[in-house]
Amino acid sequence: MRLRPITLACALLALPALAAAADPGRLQLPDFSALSKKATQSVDISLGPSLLQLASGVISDDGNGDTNAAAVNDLIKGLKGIYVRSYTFDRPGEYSKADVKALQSQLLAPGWISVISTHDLKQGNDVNIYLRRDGDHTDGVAIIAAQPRQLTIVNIVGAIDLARLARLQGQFGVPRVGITVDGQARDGAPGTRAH
Amino acid sequence: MSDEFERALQRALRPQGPARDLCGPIVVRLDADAPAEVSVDAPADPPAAMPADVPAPAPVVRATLLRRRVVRTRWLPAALAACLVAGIAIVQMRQHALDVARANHARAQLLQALSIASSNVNIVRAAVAREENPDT
Repeated sequence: MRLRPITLACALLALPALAAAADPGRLQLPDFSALSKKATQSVDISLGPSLLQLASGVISDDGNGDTNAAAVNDLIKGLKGIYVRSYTFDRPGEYSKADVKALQSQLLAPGWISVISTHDLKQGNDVNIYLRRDGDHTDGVAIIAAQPRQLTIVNIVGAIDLARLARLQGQFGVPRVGITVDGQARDGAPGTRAH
Repeated sequence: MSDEFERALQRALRPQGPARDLCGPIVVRLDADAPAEVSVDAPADPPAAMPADVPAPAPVVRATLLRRRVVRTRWLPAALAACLVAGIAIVQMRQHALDVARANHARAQLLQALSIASSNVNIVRAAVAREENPDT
C-alpha cells in the first residue's frame, strides 16, 4: 500500500520524459516570464498538432488555389508543432546567456546537431541552427537568435525543409525583414535575399 | 279558457338562459371522464360533487373541448421539439463561430511563427553567402 504513492510520483515524474520521447524534436522551453516583463514586445506562440491542422484548414480555405497557401500547407504537412518565443527590448543587455542555458543544455543531447552558427561581430547578431536527426530524416529544428536587443527562440517539431522555409519570408502580407547581402536588415524593404 | 291555457303554455315554454354555475360542473365532469387525467394521489369525484340538477353537457360543448384538448396535445410536443431544434442550432452556430475565430487566431500565429523562423534562416543564409562571396 505504501508503494502506491511512490509509483504514482514516479509516473508523474516520468511524464515529461515520455512526452519528449513521443516528440524527440520538441524542446522543453524554459519559463521566460521574467524576460517577458522586461520586453517591449514579446511573442509567445505554441502551436501543437491540432492547432496546426486547424490553421492549415483556414489557409486552404482562403487560398483558393493560391500558390502561397499551397506552399505553406506543403511546408507544414509534416510538422507536429511550432513553438516561438521572441522578446524585443528597448536597450541592449536586458537578457543574459544564462537565460538560454537550460535550452542549450537540451541541445547537447544525442540526436541534436549544430548545423550552422553565425556570429556578426559588427551587428552583434548570433544565430544558431540545430537539427534533430533520426537516421536520414529530420524530426526537429531549433533556432536561437541572439541580437543585442532581441532574443528569439524557435522550435519546429517534425520534418521541415529550411530552404523552403526561407522562401516563405515576406508572403501572406507578413512584413518582410529584408536581408541584404551586406547584412543590413531593413523592415519592409524588399532587399536582396540570399538563396 | 283559451287565453289562460295560452299564458300557461308561454310560461312553460319561455326561453331561459343557462345557470351561472353551469360551466364549472361541466368542465369538472369532462375532466373526470378523461381517464388520463385522473390523479392517483388525489382522485377526484366530480360526479358526486356535482349538483344533481345540473344537466349533462351538451354534445357540441363537449366536442369543442375535446377538440381543443386534442389540438393542444398534438401541438405541444411539436412546439417543444421546435424549441429544442432551435436551441441546438443556436449552440452549434456559436460553436462554429468560436471554431472559426480559433482557426483564424491559429492561422495568424502560424504565419507569424513561420515569418520569424524564415527571417532568422535568411539571416544565416545571408551570412553564409557573405562568407562564400566576400566581394559581393
